[in-house]
Amino acid sequence: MLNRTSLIKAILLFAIIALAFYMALYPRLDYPYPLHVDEWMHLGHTNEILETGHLNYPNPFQGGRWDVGGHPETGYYLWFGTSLLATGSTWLVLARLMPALVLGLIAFLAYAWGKKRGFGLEAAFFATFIHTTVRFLGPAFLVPVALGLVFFPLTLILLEKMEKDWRPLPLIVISLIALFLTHGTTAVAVGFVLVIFLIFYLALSRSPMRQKLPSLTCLLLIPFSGLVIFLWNRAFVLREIQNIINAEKIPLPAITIPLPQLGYIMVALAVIGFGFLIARGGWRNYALLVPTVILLFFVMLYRQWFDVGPDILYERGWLYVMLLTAFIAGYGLSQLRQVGLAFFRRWRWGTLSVYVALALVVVFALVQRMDGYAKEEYYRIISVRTFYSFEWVGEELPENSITLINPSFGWAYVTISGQYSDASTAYPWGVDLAMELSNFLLKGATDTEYIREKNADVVYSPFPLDNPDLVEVRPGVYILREGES
Amino acid sequence: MDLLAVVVVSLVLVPLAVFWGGSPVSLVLGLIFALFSPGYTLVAAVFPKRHDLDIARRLALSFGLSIVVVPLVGFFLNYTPWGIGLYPVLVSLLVFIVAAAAVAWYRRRRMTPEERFEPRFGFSLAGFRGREHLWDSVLLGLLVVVIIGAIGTLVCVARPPDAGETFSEFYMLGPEGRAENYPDVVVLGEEATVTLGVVNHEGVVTDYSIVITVNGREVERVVTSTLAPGEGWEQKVSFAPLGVGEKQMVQLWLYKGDENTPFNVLRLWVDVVDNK
Repeated sequence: MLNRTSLIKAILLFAIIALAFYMALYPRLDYPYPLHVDEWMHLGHTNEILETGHLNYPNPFQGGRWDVGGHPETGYYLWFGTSLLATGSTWLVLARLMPALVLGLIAFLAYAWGKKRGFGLEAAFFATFIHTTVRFLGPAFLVPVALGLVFFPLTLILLEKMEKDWRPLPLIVISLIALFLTHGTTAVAVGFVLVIFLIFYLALSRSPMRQKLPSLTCLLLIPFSGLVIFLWNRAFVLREIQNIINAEKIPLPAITIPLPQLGYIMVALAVIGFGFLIARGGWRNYALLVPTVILLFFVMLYRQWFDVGPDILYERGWLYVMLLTAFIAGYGLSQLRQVGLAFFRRWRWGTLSVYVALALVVVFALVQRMDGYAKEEYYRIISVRTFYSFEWVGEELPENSITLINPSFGWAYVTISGQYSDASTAYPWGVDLAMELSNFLLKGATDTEYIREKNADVVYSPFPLDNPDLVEVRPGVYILREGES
Repeated sequence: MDLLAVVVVSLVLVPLAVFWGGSPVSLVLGLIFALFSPGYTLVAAVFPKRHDLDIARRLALSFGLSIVVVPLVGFFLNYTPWGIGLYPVLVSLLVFIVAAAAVAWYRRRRMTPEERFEPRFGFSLAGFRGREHLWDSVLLGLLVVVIIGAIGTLVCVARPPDAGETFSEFYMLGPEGRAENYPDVVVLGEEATVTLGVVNHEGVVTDYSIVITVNGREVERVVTSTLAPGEGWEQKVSFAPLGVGEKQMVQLWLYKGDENTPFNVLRLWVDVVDNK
């Protein structure tokens, strides 16, 4: 039988999950397609894996000339690809749906984790605040790092269960293995948080040593879970290690601290939460506090002071900080509630006043957050007209045609048309190739020899091209005449 | 019952995904199949006791561990002769779900009914009747509204919005209606043929006309039928160049309604040779 309290909690939980869905949709409320270049890239890779049926597949963004083997985000493609196959939906539907489901899931897992300590709803609420920008990405995008965020509360739930139990141990290890294959950077961050939790538990908990054995074993196994990515793509791991050893300046400008986007109320609650965590003490509180502070200092000071690679941890680090900060802000709000209720309980209207005050805080925090979201700028790679053009190319042109295309369109082109592009580049990778192709197109694509060298059949350019060997079959779409290639 | 339900849903999903993939039912069941069932049965197999996990954590781990299981199954399939395709993925996940459910069922059977986990839906409206339960009834109603709201939000998410962009598609295919065999060499006095197509995305009923010029001189004019929004037109169109010469530029201009300015143009070059 549902009692009144559990009814209210259920209402709030479902409302928070609905909010999460909305938050993930917000950047594309009036736009039907993926936004970020990375979203298109991941869709292209996923489609190609499903097309070929193997994880060794022709790189669709490089004219299919060389094979992709051991892609470091393979796990994500397999997860999304399986969802495509199981639902039978088009990538367009799932590309909109999945970010919402993932953020809803993050909120629900945050609730399940925080519930036992009395701040489940608050943690879930603030977890929906995690920001998304075109720079460090986020849960509103269809990207592996967003899925990786699920693993923070997931492994923390398993970790707590492991305090007296061996059974979660293999689940934690396989979770980390799956995460290393999905998004290695997040796996490192999750592993780091788990290690801190385990160290605090082992050092400060009064449980007998026999009970601590699963945690001790877990602590020893965490580094080995990363071996899977080494076996899967040794070159990638060695390159990242090389980046750490030979740290270089990050090629992109520094990331500004996204506090205004989160809203100062949430930040204030996080500060209050920090205070309560320190004041209350105990290994659980320190274990939440310490990794958050370390990650926070890392992303704030990394670029200016240390310049220690790999830079991807800096690029994505704010997301991890925001998630942990959301937990702490939730903790802060729950502590305010408890303190308020204890303080005003003798006053006739005390309880009601406390809840009204907290509701106002929540509403204003949400208003601030939405305001921050509204100010964020997102680019759109293609228009609806371009989408139809690319789709037409996929339907009308022979399969696996190679297209010379403006690099900024390349990622979307592959996904929509199912054809190969040459090239698709995102800064800072492949800049030389992008420049070469851009110059070729800017000169009117008059060099037919260049098209032949690239083994291309199609040229796409939004600007008119003056090459008699090309037929403009649709605005912007030019095909090389038969016999010319 | 819960394990049976998960297995039955999974068994229903496989033919649905194969034969009716893309339908709303297969979308919902497919998401359950990929994002919930593998984790649920795994959690049930590992934590068969009621007191192992509360319901929120059990559900949370079910979703979370599905995200763990699904890529690893796909990874395993990569090293099999079947590869990563529709049937191998569906069958292997189904095998995993059934196997984990069997283990869970076996482990639960060895426990007393009080000990084992079984979801209990002891919900009854009886407790919400009467004036003293007015607030509970209101809250229950609110819960239903919020759940519908959450599902509604998700449906809105899945439906791509109208971006408000209006345009017309204009394309050219070869004489056989495929993107090949475009006119290259034309004998003077003979006609070259292409297939032209227009699709109306202007949001209103629109008349179109197409003018074909060779080296700037009009050689053909085509009027399409009136097209309703979303409607398309495709037809073979022939034209005859007026003079001999290499690399003559053929331009196909698309006009909308009575407008004098073309809003789209396609181009190709032809060599026109003498018929002698």
